[in-house]
Amino acid sequence: MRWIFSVMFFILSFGASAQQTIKADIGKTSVTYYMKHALHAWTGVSNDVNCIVQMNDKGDIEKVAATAKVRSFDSKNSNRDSHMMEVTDALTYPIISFYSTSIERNGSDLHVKGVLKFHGIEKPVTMQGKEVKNGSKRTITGEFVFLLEDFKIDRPSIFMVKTDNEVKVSFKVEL
Amino acid sequence: MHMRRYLLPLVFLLLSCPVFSQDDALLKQLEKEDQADTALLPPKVILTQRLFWGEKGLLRKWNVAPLTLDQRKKEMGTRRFMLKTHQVLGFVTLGGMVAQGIVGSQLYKGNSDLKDLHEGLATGINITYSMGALMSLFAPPPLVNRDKGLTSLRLHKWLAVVHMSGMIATNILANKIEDHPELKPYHRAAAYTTFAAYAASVIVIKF
Repeated sequence: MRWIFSVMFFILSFGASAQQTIKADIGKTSVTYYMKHALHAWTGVSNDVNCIVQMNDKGDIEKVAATAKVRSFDSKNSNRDSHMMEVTDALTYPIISFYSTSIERNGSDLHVKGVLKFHGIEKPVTMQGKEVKNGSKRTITGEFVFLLEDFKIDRPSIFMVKTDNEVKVSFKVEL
Repeated sequence: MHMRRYLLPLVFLLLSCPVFSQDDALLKQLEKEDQADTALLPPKVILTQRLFWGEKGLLRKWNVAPLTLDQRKKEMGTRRFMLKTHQVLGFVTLGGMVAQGIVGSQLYKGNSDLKDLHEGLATGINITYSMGALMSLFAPPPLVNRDKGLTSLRLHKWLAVVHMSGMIATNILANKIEDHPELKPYHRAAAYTTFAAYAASVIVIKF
């Protein structure tokens, strides 16, 4: 019986020591979306992004999770932001979240697979990132693309013309 | 022996837990910290919208539209319908104004047969213009309102002040032309100013 507890203690303590979680610097972390309409293109930025990463014992990022409030995306046009909140039903689903399922590293390049939850729907996404280390700081940038209709979002329209279905997203995380 | 039977599944469970639940665990850690912003109304709401839909608006007081999350979700649908109608009526009005410009210029050249058409078009423009304005002015408020400085929406609103003043002036002058034909140039100038401001307000607005 005693050795069973020893095994359990060893397994649990090994898991704890090998992993370290770090919260990203909220003020320096941002997510930007890029959208297009037949008449023009625009961007919306959220500087209110909550991000946490898990490092392995080598100091490499092995997992990441992030959340952002739909309301926090600012496109410098309140009417448009309000319209986006309407179509994404932000009162029911106020948070957009992401968590990684695998991270492959090739030098400073990262290939991240994960799950994006938006408008109450979860979809797998793949993104390319780059990690730059500067002393004790590290910055991760990257981008990915998703389709509004994959998340059952009715594309917003102006003058009876709908916006493009495709949305590009870029991000910057500082640790 | 009895103990060993449980040992293997136990070790497997302990090893597999971090693998399968860590992602969710990271996310759940964040979700616990995320305080959803539950503000139902933006801090600033224009007067006409505040009158009906503000925190102490008439529809709230009369309990027709209590300020709740579910009600605000419904109001977003109402708002979208009203703003789409505003857009459609805006285009109809703009088309009417173009037609009126053509008819009006012919009238000035002495083609008095067009007077009835001119007046009929004026009535139509007044109706679609007023309905379009009401759809915007009395729509439920947006969820956010944080514009600062010059934005396309602000420009749209400022131009609306110009064309609404122009519409009033054009109509007042139109009613006086019968007795004071010398006012015709002023009526025309007011109409052209209205059209210019109206067309500009359509052009500047963007999604």
